[in-house]
Amino acid sequence: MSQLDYLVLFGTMIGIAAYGVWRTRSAQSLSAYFKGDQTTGWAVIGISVMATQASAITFMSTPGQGYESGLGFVQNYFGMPLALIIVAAVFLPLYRRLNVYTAYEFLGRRFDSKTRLLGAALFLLQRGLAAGITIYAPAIVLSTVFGWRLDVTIVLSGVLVIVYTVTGGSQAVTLTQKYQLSLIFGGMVLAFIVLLLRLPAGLTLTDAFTVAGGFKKLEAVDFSIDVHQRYTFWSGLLGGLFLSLSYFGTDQSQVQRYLHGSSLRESRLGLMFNAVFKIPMQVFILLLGALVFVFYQFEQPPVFFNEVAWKAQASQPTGARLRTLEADFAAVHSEKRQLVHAWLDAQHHGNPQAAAVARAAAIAAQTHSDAIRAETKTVMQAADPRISTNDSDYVFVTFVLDHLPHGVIGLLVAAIFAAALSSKASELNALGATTTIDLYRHVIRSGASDAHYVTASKWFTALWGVVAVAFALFAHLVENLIQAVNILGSVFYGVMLGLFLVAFFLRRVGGTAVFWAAASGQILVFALYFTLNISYLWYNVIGCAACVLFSLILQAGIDSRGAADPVAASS
Amino acid sequence: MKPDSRPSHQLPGPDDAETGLPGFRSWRAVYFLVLGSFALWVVFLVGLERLFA
Repeated sequence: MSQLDYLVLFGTMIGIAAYGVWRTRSAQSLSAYFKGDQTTGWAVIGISVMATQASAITFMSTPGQGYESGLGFVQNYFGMPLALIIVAAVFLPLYRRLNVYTAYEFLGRRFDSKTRLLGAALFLLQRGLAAGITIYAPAIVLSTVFGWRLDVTIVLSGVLVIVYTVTGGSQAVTLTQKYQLSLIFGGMVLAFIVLLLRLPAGLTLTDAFTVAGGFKKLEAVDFSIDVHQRYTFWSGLLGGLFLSLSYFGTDQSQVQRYLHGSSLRESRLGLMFNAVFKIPMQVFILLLGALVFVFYQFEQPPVFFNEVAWKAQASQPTGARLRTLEADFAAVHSEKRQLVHAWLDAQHHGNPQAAAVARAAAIAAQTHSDAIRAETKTVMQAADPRISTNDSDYVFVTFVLDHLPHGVIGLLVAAIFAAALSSKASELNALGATTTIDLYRHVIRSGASDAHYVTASKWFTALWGVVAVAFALFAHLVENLIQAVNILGSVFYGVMLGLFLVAFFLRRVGGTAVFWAAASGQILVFALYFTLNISYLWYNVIGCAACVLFSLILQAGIDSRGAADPVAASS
Repeated sequence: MKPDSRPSHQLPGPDDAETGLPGFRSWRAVYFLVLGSFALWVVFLVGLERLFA
């Protein structure tokens, strides 16, 4: 990183945060602190919803997924358009009509206090843990870029987001997200353009796609019904529907974003904006990763993308073995590069047989190359079992730092950092709101002034920030970051969605039945998670179905007891 | 469920039934547009995969 990169990075990050604090510095009511001034139009709501979901993980892990496994991860989002339609048509009008601050307030109105507290507790537990992972992701970038200690980086990046979220509340979050998302999109488009320009001379976009397709990086849709496959069309459509319905319909970090709207229409259009543009955005980012893979067919990639970990290991007794593997990897890459050139040359000269032979040889060389990478990871882990051998989150960062021009590097690092801040801010804001409204005001101290609750919510927001930082310090133990967030969501979201579906559609079910149904459903999901080996998306379906089914059974039991004992029923 | 007394800007406005989008006067039409765009993306991705397989 040059001085220009540092200037771009710190200028944009601190500038956006300071602007958010300055614009929202005046004393605020509870409503303004949690819902903004409710004059927001659909475009800003759409951006805010998108920025909340698109964390730094999206821009680091997703290209890594594209590099390693191709476009298949996009199937995870196939249920999202339908989910957003349901949220816009069913959930949103009810939230607005009841004028709630949080989604869990609605559960309290529909059922009872204990169900409201259960919903709030599930959200706080799940989102509190996930918040740690979203703060960890940008810290990896910064620790790699600056060579800082990861724990120090986590603490410093956490403090920045805590300061402006606590100060400005929901208004500051929405305001800053506008500029942060512009920075993110600008950065990603610029990276894409530079990547295309850095491909070898004479290599057309069609050639790049041919290479990506030949190495199976363009395989996006798998219609198989194998439940052990992590991403298929069906798991994405059904599991993704439940996951998205839970996330957008019941997760306060999203509900709070679209409650900002000046009218039902503006909020709805903001959601529809995401329903249309989220899949293209994910395709674009995955494609970026797939094209980084193509780029590294012509440029020597590192054998292990986490440079800091590699250097640490290379100076240890295992260093000699690692350097041998690195040399083998370079030799195989050199051979593979020639084969890829031969493959494209044959294709350009209309010789399909020669192209097929060269392509098959290139694929075999890639398999060999993958084997060397796997062996490298085994050697590194044997030398230090604490080390994370999953380096896919470092792929895009490594590409940016090694191959993009100065200035653009600073912009890209700023974009990743902006993504982290935007989603982190929404999460902290929602965690603070839920703790204040559903726990503190509802259970501990009701009837205090707005100013008191605003002060309390600032303390709670800061406290959750500290919890997230503490959890982030242990996040390096988790496999792939974006998968970790989705797995965590899937384990909790199904039951949460079940609670809301019962609330919306099963009018005869009461609070006691749904409370115990949700508790039992959550225990069942935990038990299945530790015993079954199925795609995590299915836990959304299982948790939701269990909650709905158990509610019906328990309510039937309560009703029959009431019928048998009319005195008890009437008391 | 007892709705709170709401500020005037939160009452369902007459505009809420209108989408405000040219050519899409009902929400149902907007929802079909969204599902249509999803279907087109699936077709595009399958086509891309087959074209460069």
